[in-house]
Amino acid sequence: MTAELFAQLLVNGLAIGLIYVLVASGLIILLGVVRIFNFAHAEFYMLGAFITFGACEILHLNFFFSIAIAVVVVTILGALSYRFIFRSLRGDILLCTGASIGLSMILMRGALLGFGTQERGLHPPFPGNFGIGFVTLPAEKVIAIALCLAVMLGLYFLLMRTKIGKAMRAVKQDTEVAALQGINTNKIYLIAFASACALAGLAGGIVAPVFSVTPAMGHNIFLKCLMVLTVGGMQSMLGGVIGGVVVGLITSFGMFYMGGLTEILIFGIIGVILAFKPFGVFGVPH
Amino acid sequence: MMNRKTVIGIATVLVVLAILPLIVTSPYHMHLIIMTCINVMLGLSFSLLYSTGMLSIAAGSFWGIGAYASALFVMKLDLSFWVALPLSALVALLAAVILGTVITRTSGIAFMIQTLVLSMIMPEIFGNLEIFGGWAGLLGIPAPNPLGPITFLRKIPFYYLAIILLLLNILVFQALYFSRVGRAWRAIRLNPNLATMLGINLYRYRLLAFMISSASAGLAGSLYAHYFQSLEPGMFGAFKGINVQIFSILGGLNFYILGPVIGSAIMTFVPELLRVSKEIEPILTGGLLIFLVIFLPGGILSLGEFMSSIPEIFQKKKRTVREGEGEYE
Amino acid sequence: MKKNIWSVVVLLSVLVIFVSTGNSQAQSVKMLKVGSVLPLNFGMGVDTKNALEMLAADFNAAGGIVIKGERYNVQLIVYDDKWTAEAGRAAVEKLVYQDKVKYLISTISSPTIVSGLALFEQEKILNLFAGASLRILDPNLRYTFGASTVRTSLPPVWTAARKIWPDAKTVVFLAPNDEGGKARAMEEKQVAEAFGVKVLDTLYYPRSTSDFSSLGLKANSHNPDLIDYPGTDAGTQFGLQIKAVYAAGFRGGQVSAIGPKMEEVKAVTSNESLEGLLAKMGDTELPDPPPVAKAFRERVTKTYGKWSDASLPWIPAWFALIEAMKKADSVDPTVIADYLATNGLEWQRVDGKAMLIKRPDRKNTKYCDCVSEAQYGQVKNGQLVPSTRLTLPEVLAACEKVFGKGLR
Repeated sequence: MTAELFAQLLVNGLAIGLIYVLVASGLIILLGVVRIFNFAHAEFYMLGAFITFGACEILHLNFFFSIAIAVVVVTILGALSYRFIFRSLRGDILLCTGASIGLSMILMRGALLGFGTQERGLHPPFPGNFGIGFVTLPAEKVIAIALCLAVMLGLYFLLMRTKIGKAMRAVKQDTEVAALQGINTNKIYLIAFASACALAGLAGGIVAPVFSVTPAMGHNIFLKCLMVLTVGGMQSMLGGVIGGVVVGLITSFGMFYMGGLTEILIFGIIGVILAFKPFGVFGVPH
Repeated sequence: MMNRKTVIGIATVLVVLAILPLIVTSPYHMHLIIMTCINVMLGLSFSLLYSTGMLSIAAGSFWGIGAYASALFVMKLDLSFWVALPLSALVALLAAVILGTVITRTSGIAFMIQTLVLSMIMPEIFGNLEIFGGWAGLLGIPAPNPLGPITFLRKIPFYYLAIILLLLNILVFQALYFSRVGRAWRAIRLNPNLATMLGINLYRYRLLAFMISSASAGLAGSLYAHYFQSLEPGMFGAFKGINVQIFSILGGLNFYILGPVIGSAIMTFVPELLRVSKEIEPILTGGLLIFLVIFLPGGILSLGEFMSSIPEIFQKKKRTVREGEGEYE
Repeated sequence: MKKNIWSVVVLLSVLVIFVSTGNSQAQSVKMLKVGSVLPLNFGMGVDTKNALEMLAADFNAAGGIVIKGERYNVQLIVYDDKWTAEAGRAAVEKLVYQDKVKYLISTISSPTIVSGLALFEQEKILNLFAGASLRILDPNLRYTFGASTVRTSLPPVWTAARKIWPDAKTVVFLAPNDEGGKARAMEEKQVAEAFGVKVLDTLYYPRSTSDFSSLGLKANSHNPDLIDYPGTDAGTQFGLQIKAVYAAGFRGGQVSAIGPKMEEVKAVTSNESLEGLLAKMGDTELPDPPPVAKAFRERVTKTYGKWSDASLPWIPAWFALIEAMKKADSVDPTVIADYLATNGLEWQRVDGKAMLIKRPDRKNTKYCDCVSEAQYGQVKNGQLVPSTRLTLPEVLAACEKVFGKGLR
């Protein structure tokens, strides 16, 4: 294990961890504010990637513009889903889970039928590699990292500084009191749900050039996403970041040493973490 | 609770079940019926946890633990199936104890996500260990040892075995639901804080539910292993756990016994009998799920009440999941 | 409470009425019922189903087959197994007991077939299996034969590899951590070593991996002459592995026993990384395909509007079945099975000729597996260019080198 190799694995791990955090961030907002779980989150991520691909490769639009389009479409789709499906179920975890499972089945099979079985790849907008010292990263990964960080910062400001963000945090903390303060909780739920889907779609678009664009891509990343949530505590952004870093680093080094057993390794480590902190690193008993 | 009409109803059902093999001649249909029985047992285990407010997607995992344990007991340790059957339930129970001490401290969504993670990891564990046959799984698992003159070579003895185990399962669960334990579970589901104040130890009762639920799933696993006679890791993943959940939603969440019965019967038979284009099938299932959840959250068994409350629907939209109307009251 | 008991009674009676009405069909033409169970949740499953349906329809339109003076058409019934054992077993039971098929072809998924093997023996169903499972070579099986070359595709590709890289001494494998991957990697290790190339390491990855950067680093750190990809998926996942390996600095030779989906692979990785890759080529992908391949390709494009070669590895069973019936001069599965086991078979597929072989290395001295002509190509400037073709005798020689004598 040379220093170069170690540094490369470390950076790779942080990079992939950041991507996991971005994908999970939407779910964290959803779980915290609306307190439901959206199985179809992974499918919104997949749709974001496909729409970005379509806009970029078929319509030949600028990459960043394509992502923006994808986010808009996915947000609308998310808002519609909430309005017509989840709003009437609010509260019941099982019913929402059931509905989101149904939605994910429809979206995934719909994508397979609609986009065809051929797997796609989004050619990186900027070819080549970036090298710093020992470490090289392909350009699309660097862009992805940069965008992830930008989004995280943006989320921080949105949640902490804007009125809507504060309203969402208030609802997260205590729904009844927030309602008493005059916050329209229904509107907040809608915004939170739509934001979660938006973040999923955004993540999909950002990741599209890094790996591939396939109907199953959401499904594939879902487990890692859940692991991030479990480690981080499911409702805290900071927890999510820590969870992502942990999962990303273990994945990077684990794949190097153990290959196929990496997921079991992560599971074991999660088990150990949960034994000491049942609610995750930043989790709160609820 | 028990009146003449109920007794006649139950008796009719038992008689029909007893003579079913005379009516159903096709081995294919018998196969579906046996699979339904196994699926019902899994649905019951899911319902048990739901009755205490816990949502588990890990039904497939404990089913798998029981199945593999039973197969290994018989194939490697030369035990009789009839010994392996209860032992597998025990193994699943032990696994539940170990896992449960960690994850049953949480509730609600956190618990569900953790069971989801478990259900996704379990196939990896089965697939990576050679003792479980790796990814190719175990093949040639022997049928149950003959019981006197009864040999398990054709489907009919399996049918009776499955039905008997299922009925036992139902009886045990029914007894639990009527007991103090069942009442505590329902109290926890309705209002955990109130339950704590009433002196109910949340953690202990939840762990108990987790243990019993997993043991019964393990029992179903043992039956499955020796009926299907081959196991592979992919059978025991999140997909199975989600399917089991759909049984209960379809049948009726508040009907802890009948809900899974109806739900799994429909889910096992209908897709096979309808020659629906298999490409569109998940879309239809997904759409059905969403439809159910919005318009019929109580499941099919709540149709009775739904029908009689139609006049009210026209006056005011009511979307409440009815509680406390299971047959155990 | 009583309402619900009665609803169960009603449900049971409906079920009983439903299942006890048999399905009787009056047949006017003599039909051979042929079944197949395919993973319709994957593109290759759908493509295979389409190809088989097209072949069956054309076959019937051309007059079917005449055996012992009797004319027969084929009725093809295809069910979905979603690649799961549970659905696969139900589908097989349905085909055998409900639809009463006598022949099963082109089934790909091992879980499905393996769970049904005993059933085929018991009900005497001729099974020409397309998938990769080694369990079908069990000498106790009378009715099951391997009709695809998945198990025998490795020796020929290594013959080709040796021709291109005669000095290569070491190789690293990248394989998915599933049944196919593990089996292929172990088989390919045996083959590589028979050809004098040492396997330094086999790196397994979880089936759903997209990020191969760690694996690329690990593979390259061994500094092998070659990298091989046993059991890999043919699409973008394959491309991502090549991308990672290239990014880690590997510049040696790359080998793949399966034909990659070039369009998908190129979508995710650069032409430079692909340069020199040795891979299987279907006859239909050649710039100037042989007549059979060309006709098939045109027919599929005309019928379905688009071409995909995904079905090619799995449809040989169809051609084998027709040829087997002709050669055995019978439509009785038992007669055909026994004929094949003792006499073998040679038949023409879409991509080249194939023949049945014995597998004494698997303790099976009956004809049970198959080999076929093999076409390989190398990637030059992002295009797969034909490079080596092995005839049946050459393929047999390559297989004998690895499995030992006694195959024909």
